Amino acid sequence: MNKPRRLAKYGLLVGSVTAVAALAVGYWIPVKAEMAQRLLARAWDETLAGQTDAKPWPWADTSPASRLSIPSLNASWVVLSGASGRNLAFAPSHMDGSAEPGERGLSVIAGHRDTHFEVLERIPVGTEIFVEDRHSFTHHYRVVATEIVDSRQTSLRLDADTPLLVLVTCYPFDAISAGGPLRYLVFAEATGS
Amino acid sequence: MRIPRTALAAILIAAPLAHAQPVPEPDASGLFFQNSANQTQQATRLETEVSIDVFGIVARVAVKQRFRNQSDSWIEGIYVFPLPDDAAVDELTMVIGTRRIEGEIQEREQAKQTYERARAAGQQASLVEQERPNLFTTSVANIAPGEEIAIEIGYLQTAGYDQDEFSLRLPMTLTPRFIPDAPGSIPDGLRGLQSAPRAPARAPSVADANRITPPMLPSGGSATHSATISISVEAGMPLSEIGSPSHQLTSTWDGRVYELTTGDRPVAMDRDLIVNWRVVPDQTPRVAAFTETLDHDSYVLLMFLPPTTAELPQPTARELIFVIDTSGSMGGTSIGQAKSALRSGLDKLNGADRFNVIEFNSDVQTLYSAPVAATVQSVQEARRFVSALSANGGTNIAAAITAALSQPVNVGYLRQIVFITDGSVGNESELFGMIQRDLADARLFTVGIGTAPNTHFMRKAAQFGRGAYSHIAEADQVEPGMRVLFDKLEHVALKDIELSWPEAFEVYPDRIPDLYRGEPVVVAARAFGPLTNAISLNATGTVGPYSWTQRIDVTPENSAGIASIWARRKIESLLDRKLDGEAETLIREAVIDVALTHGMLSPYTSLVAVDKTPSLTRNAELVREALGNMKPAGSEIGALLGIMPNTATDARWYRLIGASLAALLLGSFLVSRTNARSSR
Repeated sequence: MNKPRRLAKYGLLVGSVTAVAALAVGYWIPVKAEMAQRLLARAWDETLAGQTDAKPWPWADTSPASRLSIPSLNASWVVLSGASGRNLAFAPSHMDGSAEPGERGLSVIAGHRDTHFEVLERIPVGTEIFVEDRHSFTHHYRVVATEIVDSRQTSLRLDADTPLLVLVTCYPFDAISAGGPLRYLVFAEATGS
Repeated sequence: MRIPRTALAAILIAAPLAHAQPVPEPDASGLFFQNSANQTQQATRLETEVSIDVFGIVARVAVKQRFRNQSDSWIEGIYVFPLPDDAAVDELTMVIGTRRIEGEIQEREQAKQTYERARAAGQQASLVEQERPNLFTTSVANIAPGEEIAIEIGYLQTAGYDQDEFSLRLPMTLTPRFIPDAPGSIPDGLRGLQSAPRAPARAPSVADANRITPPMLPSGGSATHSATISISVEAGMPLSEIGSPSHQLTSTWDGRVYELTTGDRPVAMDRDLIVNWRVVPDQTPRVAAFTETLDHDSYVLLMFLPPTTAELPQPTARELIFVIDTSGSMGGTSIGQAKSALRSGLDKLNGADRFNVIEFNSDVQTLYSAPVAATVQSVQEARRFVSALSANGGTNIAAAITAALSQPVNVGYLRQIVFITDGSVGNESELFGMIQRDLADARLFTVGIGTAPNTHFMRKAAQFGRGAYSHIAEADQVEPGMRVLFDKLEHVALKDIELSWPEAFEVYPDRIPDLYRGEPVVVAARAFGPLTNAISLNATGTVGPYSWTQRIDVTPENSAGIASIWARRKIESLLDRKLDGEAETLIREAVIDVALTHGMLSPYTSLVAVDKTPSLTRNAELVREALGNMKPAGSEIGALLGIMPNTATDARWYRLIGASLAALLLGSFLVSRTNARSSR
């Protein structure tokens, strides 16, 4: 076997390993997002049962904040508190400092456009959203608007006078790479509990 | 779907830049708003150069804003920015290359038309308007691609003086302001989005809300919004210390003048600049007077310290109502400082005091239904209450003020309200009116928290509340700041202060407020005709049961800027009369008269500069860009206000890479097999 052929063989090997690894990571991310929700569901039940600071897995540094459901889209997630990159990998997350569900002010829940919040692409105005809080109260919201904004140029006001909810995810939904500036916002207002 | 753009204004603080689109005129509400999904980067880069010259107690400040157009389009840049709330803005110069074009003062509407005509004609023009005493807008039209236009804004202010310390504060950014909706209504933002036709818009409580809520940028490390600062202080007396608690400045002294500078390393505009200096003890003069003769009239600025009989402790029993702001804008380091300030206040209560604690955001929560005696148990309970507080929701200051002022009265107690907030509200005048109306015998003391509080609100709320205000910007200032405040709370105020000016003088403020320990009297006066001889005044006042008299001599000299400071104080005094129910038309007329005479910015006058030389023909449409303000340092609101999180994973990217690589490998494998076969 001559030298170029050996190199080609190496290249092939390295390339194959890389390809397999990239594909594995690419397909693992949504699987992880899905699996985390199952673990979180258990932690959420414990939270509702009165356990404060129930941890979904032993080394977690966050705890479930609420359960967000959109029955018409057949979607339901446990929401973590704190919209950090790490939390978002596991669950839609409630942004610190924004209003708690049902409280006056804007409550902000962010999620990944290509895992949990994938379904938001087809959420019509009028859709009902439910948010169950730690005390088992369910707050009812109705979608009143969707909007696409540039996150570098647009800010959210948190100080509304009525309970409002906004779901934040990236836009466009089918973009290949992460980190784009556009966000898709779903605004909902409280309709009662 | 075309959503009415104004509709989201209540929720979205937004002013996105347009990219190669026709210039939209502001809509009826004056909203600078254009949304476009194909933007790439911020077109205008902003750099600021600040130069401050202090002479005695008067500071002449030049703020140079450089707007550099980094795009291929012609740009109109719009920048809402803060200045000190007592700034007498009297200079505007537009600098294009080596040319300097002086601005002129015009009535607001006229100035706007001048600017818009120039803009439409393709001329380079700039306009500076006052939105609030401490909030201004610069508009710069027709910045050519790759070109830079600089705007120099000049103003005067007096250095603050309290507890033997002089201080200057230059705001660099702002904390986003809360614009309350009418109670119980759905915010405009969501109403109207539900179905067409749109219900008639409810009048918002703050008519110009859109003009005072610019977009927010993440703080620090940005390519835009950096500042270089240079300060020279000629105090006229030996100083024991000088420095900045907010910024790292290098300082030099040439035996007469102190120079402080950021050097060649610009700072991020994410916090207010503060400079403090102290005179060598025992050399502090008790009187400082500056005069100027301008257009045959004479102007006097007088500052003096009343006698130290003010050492009298407060004889009456006190009732302290602590009010703490727990709204979303306090998120981050601010809430922590506010809580420790409150705890420090609780520690300073003595057994004879009564107290209560009120926290507010969108709602108001009161610890006790009525003030209680400061026992070990009640203070302990209050500490627990304070520890549990966190920051979120709106800033409903009106409800908090009502709650504080309507606490049941205990006869024989002096009620002092300590109001801890960042003052991030847009409905200031409504609140001042409320305080003035409902104050009765209470006294309101404001404590400003954070790196960029609304100082205008702090100062004027304390003025109408007949108290004093103080600032706490950093955690290590909590304890000294609260000590100074309690020093004021625990000593008798100086009252009934009067000055025997010769008859010809017009003096502002027209009534000298009560003074607390360590505070000086500062007044500005004007007389027609030049000041030839020294004038002598008698200052009188009372402190507790005693009265005092002090003789003050004013010797003519010539300091620049005293006339402007007088004019600015007169304008403030005129505007205050609105709260006494005087007709706005009369006030407006009087303000315009002073402002035009002194070439000064006011709510009713603006500075406008137009380059008369015809500009290069603008061959494309003008793109309007609203420049943001940097998120105040330490604040968490940016996590919400400025920066929405990244909400996409790299899953697709990895899959794409993996799949492409696999396809590539497969392809080359097939090719090599084919080659191998054919070469056989």
